[in-house]
Amino acid sequence: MRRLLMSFLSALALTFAAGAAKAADGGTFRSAMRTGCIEMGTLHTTCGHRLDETVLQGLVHIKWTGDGVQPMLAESWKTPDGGKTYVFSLRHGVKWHDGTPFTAKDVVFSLNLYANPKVGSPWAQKLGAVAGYKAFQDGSASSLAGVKALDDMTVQVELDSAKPLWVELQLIAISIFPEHILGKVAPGDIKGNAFWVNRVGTGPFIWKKYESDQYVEVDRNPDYFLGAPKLDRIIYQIYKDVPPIIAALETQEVDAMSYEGGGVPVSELARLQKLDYLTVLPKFSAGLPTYLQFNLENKRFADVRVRQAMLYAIDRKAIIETVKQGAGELLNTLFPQDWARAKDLEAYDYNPDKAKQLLTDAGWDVGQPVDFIYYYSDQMNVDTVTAIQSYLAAVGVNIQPRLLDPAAINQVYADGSFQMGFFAQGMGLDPSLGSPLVVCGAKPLAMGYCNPKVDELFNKGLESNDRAVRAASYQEASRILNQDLPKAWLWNEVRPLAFNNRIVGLAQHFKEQPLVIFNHPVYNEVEKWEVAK
Amino acid sequence: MQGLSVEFGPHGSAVYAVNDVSFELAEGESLAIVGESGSGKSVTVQTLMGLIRKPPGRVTAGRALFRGRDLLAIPDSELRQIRGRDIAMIFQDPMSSLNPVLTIGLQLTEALREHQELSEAEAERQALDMLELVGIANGPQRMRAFPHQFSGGQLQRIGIAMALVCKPSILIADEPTTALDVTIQAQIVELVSRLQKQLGMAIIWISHDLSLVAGFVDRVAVMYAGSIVECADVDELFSTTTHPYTIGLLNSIPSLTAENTRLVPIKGTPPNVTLPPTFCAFAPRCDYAEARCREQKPPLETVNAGHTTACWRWREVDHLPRSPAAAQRVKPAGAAGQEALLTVTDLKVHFPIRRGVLRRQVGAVHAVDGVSFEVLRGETLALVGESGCGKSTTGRAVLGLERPSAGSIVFEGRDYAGATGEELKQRRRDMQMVFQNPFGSLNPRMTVGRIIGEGLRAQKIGTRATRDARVGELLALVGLREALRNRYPFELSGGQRQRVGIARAIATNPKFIIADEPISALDVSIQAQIVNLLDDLKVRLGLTYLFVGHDLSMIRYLSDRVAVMYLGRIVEIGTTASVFGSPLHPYTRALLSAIPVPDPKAGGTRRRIVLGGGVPDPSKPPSGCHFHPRCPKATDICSKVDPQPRDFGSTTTGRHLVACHHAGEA
Amino acid sequence: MLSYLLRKLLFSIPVLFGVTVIVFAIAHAMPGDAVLAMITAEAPSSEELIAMRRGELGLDQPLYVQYLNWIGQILHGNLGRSFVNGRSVGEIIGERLPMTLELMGVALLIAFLLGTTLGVISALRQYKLTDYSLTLAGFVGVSIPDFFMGLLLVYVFALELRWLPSSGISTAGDSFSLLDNLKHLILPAAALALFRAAIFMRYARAGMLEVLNQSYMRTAKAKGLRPSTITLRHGLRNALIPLVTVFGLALPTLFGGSVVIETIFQWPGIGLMFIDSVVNRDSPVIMGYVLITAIIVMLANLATDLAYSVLDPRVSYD
Repeated sequence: MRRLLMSFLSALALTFAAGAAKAADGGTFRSAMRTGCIEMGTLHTTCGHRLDETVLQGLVHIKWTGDGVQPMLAESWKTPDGGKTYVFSLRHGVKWHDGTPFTAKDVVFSLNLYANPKVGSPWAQKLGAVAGYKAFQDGSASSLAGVKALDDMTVQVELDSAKPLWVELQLIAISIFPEHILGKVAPGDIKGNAFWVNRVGTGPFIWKKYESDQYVEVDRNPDYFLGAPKLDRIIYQIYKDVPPIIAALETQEVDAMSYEGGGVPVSELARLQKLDYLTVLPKFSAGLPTYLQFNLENKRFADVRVRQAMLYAIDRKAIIETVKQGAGELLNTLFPQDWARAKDLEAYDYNPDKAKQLLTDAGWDVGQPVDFIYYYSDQMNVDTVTAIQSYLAAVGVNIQPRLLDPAAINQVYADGSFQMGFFAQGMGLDPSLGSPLVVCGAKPLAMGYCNPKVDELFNKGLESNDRAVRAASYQEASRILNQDLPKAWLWNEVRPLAFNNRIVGLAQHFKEQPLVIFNHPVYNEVEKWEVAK
Repeated sequence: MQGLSVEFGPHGSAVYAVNDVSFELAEGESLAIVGESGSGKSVTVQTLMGLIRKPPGRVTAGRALFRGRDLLAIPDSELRQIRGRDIAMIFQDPMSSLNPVLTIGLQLTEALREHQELSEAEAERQALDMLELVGIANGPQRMRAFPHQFSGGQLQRIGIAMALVCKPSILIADEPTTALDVTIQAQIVELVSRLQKQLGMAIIWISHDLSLVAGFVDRVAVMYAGSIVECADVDELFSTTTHPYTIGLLNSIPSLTAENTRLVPIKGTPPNVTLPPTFCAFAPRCDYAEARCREQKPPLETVNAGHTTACWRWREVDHLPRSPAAAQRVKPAGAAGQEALLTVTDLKVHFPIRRGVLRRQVGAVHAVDGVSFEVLRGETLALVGESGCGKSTTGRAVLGLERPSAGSIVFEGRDYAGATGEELKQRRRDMQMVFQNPFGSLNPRMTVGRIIGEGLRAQKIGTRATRDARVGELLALVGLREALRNRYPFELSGGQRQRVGIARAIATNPKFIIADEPISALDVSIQAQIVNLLDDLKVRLGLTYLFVGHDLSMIRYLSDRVAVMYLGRIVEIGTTASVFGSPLHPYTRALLSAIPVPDPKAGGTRRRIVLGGGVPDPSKPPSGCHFHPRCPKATDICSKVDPQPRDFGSTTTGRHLVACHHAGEA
Repeated sequence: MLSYLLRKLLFSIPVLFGVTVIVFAIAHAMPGDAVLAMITAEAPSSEELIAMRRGELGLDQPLYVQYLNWIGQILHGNLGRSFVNGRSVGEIIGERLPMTLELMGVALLIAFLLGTTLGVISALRQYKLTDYSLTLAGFVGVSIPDFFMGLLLVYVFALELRWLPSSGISTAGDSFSLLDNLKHLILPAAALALFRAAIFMRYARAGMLEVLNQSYMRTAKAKGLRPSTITLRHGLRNALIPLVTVFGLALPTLFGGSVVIETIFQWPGIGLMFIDSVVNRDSPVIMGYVLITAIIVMLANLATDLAYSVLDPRVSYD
């Protein structure tokens, strides 16, 4: 009996030793990914874009440096009429992973798929500027009138009005799908279709295998049009929660983390920085303004003085320094981008006395509590909400925080009972990206705010592709928003990131990235990355 | 065995279970060790076998020489080989002594395979032989059965088979028949005697029943408080009793044939075994105790060849009469009236058997199958019978604890059968019950005072103050100290607990008390005390009793009239004198003949009627007379026609009803 | 025996229905529905779109109609399709169940074997040092919740010692290797098992102690049997009977999984699926999960009863 036990134990020990000796195999890059982004498909999720960098592709991708686009499936394009009509010359010799040649048919099909009301894609409004979009949406047309294939390798897109930045701001979200496969699927069956777990694309890596809730494996595409990748394969390992990702980073089970979910929690930063095989980027801007949202149709919040008072009441610097341990930059208006902000914005420095004064002037009812909802459940944000609660209580605003999941939050919006909330919204690379504030009174986002001047300025900002020209419009808008304060902007989030040095090219590209680019495929030269020798 | 002493517990406050016990057992001899609970008889033999747990138990002195080896000195691995093979043991409760999840075949063969390393087939064969020897029919099938599928008597036979399967030289029987009915007891005793002669074994038979062992052993050793007080050949012991304790034991046994004299119990309470044995432990209860007895422990002295006794004054005791003061104490005669307090007519209690998906009733257990009797005011009627005859169920039905399926129960002129609610409560004022098990029938979380007073509170009699006073009265009435009022049951002895039970029963001043085997769980010396108490109370409070029990000698002593039950029916009912004196029903005869008498000579010559078989399944009673399959007198008519009760009495002997076709024949 | 089983099964059916009704009501009492769960700020939906989607999924009908539809589907053996991604619920559960079974099965097995063995040893050495230390260990085991144990194990064995992987069911992308699977299995199974082993140990100890005091143990000793025979053949067989109850209670967890452990260890089991479906208000998946779990519980109870009748010959179902 004892002998049996001993031999069993020693066998166990040996196998572990053998397993541990197996170092990371050459040529595999392991990237962490959050769940729920794969099965429904690109058209219906907002987080699967990593796969659209490597397997599927668009006509253009944002460059990782954040200052322009990289031609991908479109080799070049021109707009003879200053941004109303675009003519794309497609890349020659590109084949789908199953060998079928890539043609203009695929492009026309894909754009129509996005806009097709029967498909019901939330990305449809990216093509909102295309001529014939409204007719397609309300059913009077059966396709996008403005999209035409001029020949096998050329596609023309006509817009309603001139938008010189249309490619840089809208087209970057569009991926191209194989017409010969998805064309056979009824529009209503696109969502959740089997194609999404076995994608055929044109990118540097070929879809190999998908294990539900475990990983996606993609292998090198030797025929890639920008050159065969150096890496053998990429494994996207799926994680439900952030802490296992951090642990996996530390044990080198994963090389890159995802920036969804808050990045590296500030409490772990110090520990990760001590590890010599990791590169830690502690101050990576998330491009994610965090704000207090109000229901402006509710009488209590309709008075701007009330909202200003809330901002004056909170010592944002203190929160950033203590609770967030420095992971945040003060923000007083919508735009995280420096160039889009006016220089003379009201700073809303911490001033509780002024807050009390404003509230009294506005006739604030101290006795009535405020229903306050929020979504982020990690410790740092929970602590932040607690801090906010005590600051507001000190001036007579009694909030009662409730943590809700998305369905419940949307329910609160839908039945109009929303009062106040704590949220963050990714703005991405450009002031015009992210959630549009443009449509006056749009439910549920505008929450009762309507200033036609702001809408006008937003539209103006898209009329030129010269940043200096655009800056004027945005800065003016930023000033108005800073005064009107439809949302009380608190700060811009910082998401620390960490990467394993094993993959040469990984951390280097992220270092050059100005901020987190949410929900859009990014061209970051993945085909040039390799495993360190 | 030489000078064995065994203690239990921590050194400072030990329990002196066995003190300097010595005896000899010759080859093929049978020795009985008799004593009450706490006398150390079980511990003695279990120590021999190495069965006591060493912490907390300790052997402080002694040697046990078996074939030249000291069993107490050898290590357990060697003792293990002797256990089961050379010395075997059977235990008191066969139902719990056998492993319920293993087949009896396995339990029979494992000792063989362990000690003699036989193959499975060979072991099975020997086991089958043994089963036949002990009288279990259908051996090959029964080998695969489980213990719960056998009756108590059968299980004890199997236990014997298990012990004897390796043909040991010594068989130790630790109260093997205490848990069994009288007729089964007779069977087992007869079996063991036969086997002893066949196999030439020596036997040590442990018992608390002196009368039982009188019939078949060679020698008897009487133990008290861990020591042997008297040891002699069986005839010698009964004819020349020298130790006061033995005398007291004999006096507290009611005999079947002697006059209706009062029992002479041994006064006092069981010994305190936590005191070191430096004096005669019996002294506090001994009529002849003197100063020397309380200071020094008497050694075993020789009376004559083979007869030893441990008493300082045994020579004087020898001259004193066997039953002192017997003539002075006459049993108080209760004046029995002529009017019936309780009349039960054709009472039936059937328990349904449900089978199938829909739980339909497919049959019934006829626990009580048409019972009629009456209890006259002021008298004591006894319902006797063996396990399963329905006597307890009858008693419970009378009290309202079971719902009768048919029949009437008329108490003081009103029919209470099936009563509920207020009616039942009223009846319960007048009718109370004393239960069998003094350990189980008292709520361990209530103090004695609360227990006794509970009935008063439930019936809303009096105020708190008057109830308290009444409890004090009751305690005195049953002979308990006032100080015990605030004790909990576990702090009291068995006899004291039963007194509490009696006090509780008489608290509400009932007219009628049903006593369900009130003394069977008590030691012999205590039984006599309780019996006397019940007698006294009957006279003083004018009570009427219905006794339910199976201890026939006590029943005979206590009751005015007796009803014998078998399988749910009364087979014979009449005055105690006539039923015991001239039993007319074959079952009654067999029952009476199975009772051991405390007289070795009579035991030898008396013809014992041993009934074959066992009690039939009460859900399928035999047709006609329920007793006919086992009756030595059964004829054709018995299996067809239900015998109706016929009166064989006369004006002098009172009514004597017998339900038998052949009653009265020679 | 057969009629007993039949009767139990028959009576279980109304219970199952009752469970589904209650869960359905509760699930729909939560604020929001599946369509609202899908709206995020990055991809807002217009009112028309929301209405259309609701219609597609049948969420615009009154509750009892939705429930009856679901029952109708069930009676045809169809568990429906997920609101979130349209996949067949049966398929989703079928993918996940084996993972959960593997984890919970191993954990329960370890817990049972470890717990029973230690409990028996503890009983045999009552009041000695072994007993006290094991009892203490048992206390500690019962007091530490399994998720804390899980985090602790990850910290010690994965992060500090680097002996074992920190999460996942296998090394992603590698072909299946039993060894790799086992390495990933050890920590989550240990986290689950230690807690349950402590519980089993208490019961085993108590059961064994009671058995040791029984008369038949004394009889076995009197027959001169070996101590190991007495303990194992006579003692353990009886001591196992009450353990069956405890094991039977733990059986349903075999299929329910442990959401917390699955999250910590990223084990792609049915617990994770269930939490996601609740957050997403994915009614068909929720109901499918509940139905399967209820059936499993019922079968586990039946199995426990059957086990009794096998282990204990005194138990018979007429």
